[in-house]
Amino acid sequence: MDIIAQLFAGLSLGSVLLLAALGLSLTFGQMGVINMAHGEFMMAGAYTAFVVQGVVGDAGVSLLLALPLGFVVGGLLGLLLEATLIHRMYRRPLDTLLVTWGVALVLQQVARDVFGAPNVDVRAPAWLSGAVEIGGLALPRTRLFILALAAVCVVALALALRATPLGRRIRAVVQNRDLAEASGISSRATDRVTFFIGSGLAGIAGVALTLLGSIGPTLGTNYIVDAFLVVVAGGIGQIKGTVIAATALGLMQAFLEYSTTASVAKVLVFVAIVAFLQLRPQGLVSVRTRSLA
Amino acid sequence: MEELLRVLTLALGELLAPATAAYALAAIGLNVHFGYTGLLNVGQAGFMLLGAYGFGISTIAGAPFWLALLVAMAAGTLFAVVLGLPTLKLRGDYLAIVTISAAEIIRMLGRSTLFDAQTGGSAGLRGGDYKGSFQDLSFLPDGRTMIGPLEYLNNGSDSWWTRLFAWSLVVLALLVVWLLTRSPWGRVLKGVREDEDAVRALGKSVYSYKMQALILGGVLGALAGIIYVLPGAIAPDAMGRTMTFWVWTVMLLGGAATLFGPVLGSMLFFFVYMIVRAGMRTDLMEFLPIPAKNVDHVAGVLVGVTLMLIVIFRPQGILGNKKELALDAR
Repeated sequence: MDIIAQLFAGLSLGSVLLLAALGLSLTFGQMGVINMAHGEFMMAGAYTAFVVQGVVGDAGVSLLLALPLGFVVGGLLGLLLEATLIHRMYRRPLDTLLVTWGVALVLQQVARDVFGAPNVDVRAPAWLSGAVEIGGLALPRTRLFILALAAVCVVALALALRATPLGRRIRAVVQNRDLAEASGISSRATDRVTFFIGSGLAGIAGVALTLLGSIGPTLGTNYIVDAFLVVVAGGIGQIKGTVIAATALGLMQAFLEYSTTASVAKVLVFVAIVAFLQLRPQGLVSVRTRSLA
Repeated sequence: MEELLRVLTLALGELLAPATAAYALAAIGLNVHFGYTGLLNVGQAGFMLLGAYGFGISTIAGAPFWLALLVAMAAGTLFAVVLGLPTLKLRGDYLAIVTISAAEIIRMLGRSTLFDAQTGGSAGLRGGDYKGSFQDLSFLPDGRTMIGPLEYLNNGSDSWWTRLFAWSLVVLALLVVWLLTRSPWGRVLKGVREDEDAVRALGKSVYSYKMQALILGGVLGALAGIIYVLPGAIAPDAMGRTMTFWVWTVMLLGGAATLFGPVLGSMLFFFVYMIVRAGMRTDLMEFLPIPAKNVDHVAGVLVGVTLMLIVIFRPQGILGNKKELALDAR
């Protein structure tokens, strides 16, 4: 068993999981909204990349354009969802789950009507084709790019949360909504922005997924459950936990997959998560809050 | 006109269809979870699939009908315990996430090549392989019977016998749930839903009550799974997340925490669903810009929209009481 190869496979899988879960760590972890349409926001991001490529043509330029555009498309969808439906039902986790599942179905059907049911392909740019050889090991450039993208997203989100006034407001609302309100922070506005960013990250994840294979209307359904598990295992309220959990789960999946099969590996990873929650119900890393306890 | 009658007959047939009974039974189980105890089980399809597998595999292995039924119920119990042990002490939405993934895991294991010999992989199990022992039990004479506009074979897969058995189980489940929920045990369950701490202060073990409710509802789900596959075959991919959400829609439509809500919800759901699906295919609806191959997807979207509207505007469903969920509207 080639440990380095598995290590890379695991990290690569972990980075995909991380991209999918990073937005959820904001919307589910911080706001407590179980958004089943998060996967469909990823799908929207992926189709954004497809449309941009159709307009621009050049694969390299279109990828670089699609990343910010995917963020905006995902974010706007999230904002729309928050403003129309979710804001009515904070702290009603089941209601949001059911309602957003309905939204997910509608979005899938819209994608099916607009782009057709068959999968479509987005060409990867030339500078991402092929692999980098390191020590006799071929690392696909697309996978390296996604790793880097995930890292950039994490750093950017961490900086935004830690060093900007907006980030301070978000953290304040998460830790104690009433006190934040009393200090003059509009929790409504903060919720909206948080939801915009979280959903936008799903859009970026969707653009990244176009590099790994063809995309279809049900793209999001493959990732949503795993992404939720990552956030639950990582713990609420902090990005650190999500990063560690995504990496750990990716590595675990890759190594187990090597020695068994993909589905058995998934089962074992799931069992590991459930066992882990038994030991640490609050997840890997968590902040003490009054609102989410 | 003739076509309209055909659509109506089809929809009437849905009222008695085994699938309607299966969804009603699964929703009764979910009602024990959510309606009476407040548990967020989003993996009811996992219980159903497990029940179907338990029944099908043990029958194929040579077990008599009643033993196979017990195996399915045991599988449901085991699954409930495995899910409940780690999650019932955690926040409610953790149970939601864990049950939704556990149901997916069951489906994935079922369709993986690992247990190919038992589960038939992604192709599933053929109905003919496990239906024999059930159909041999029938005491109806062979032939066809027509009741009103509905005509089916007396015996066989999609038969009066299957319907009789399915709805008998539903009635039995209603009776059990009715007796249990009006007992002291049922009052504690509702107490758990309303205020866990108050129940704890009265010296009851909330954890143990939640576990019992999870098992009871799960066993009902497993039985529902058997009914669901008796007229057809066991196909793991047909029993995924969509099924879970349909069960939720059925339960919420009829009214959570009501005795007859799940049954009413299931009948109404499938009646309307058939009208929509069959109706969109007739010439009457030619003006709609929906190609025939998309009809099922559109109908699926309508289900999603219905679910959204119920949750937003009438969370208590048709029979429920909004002011006091605890008040069981009978």
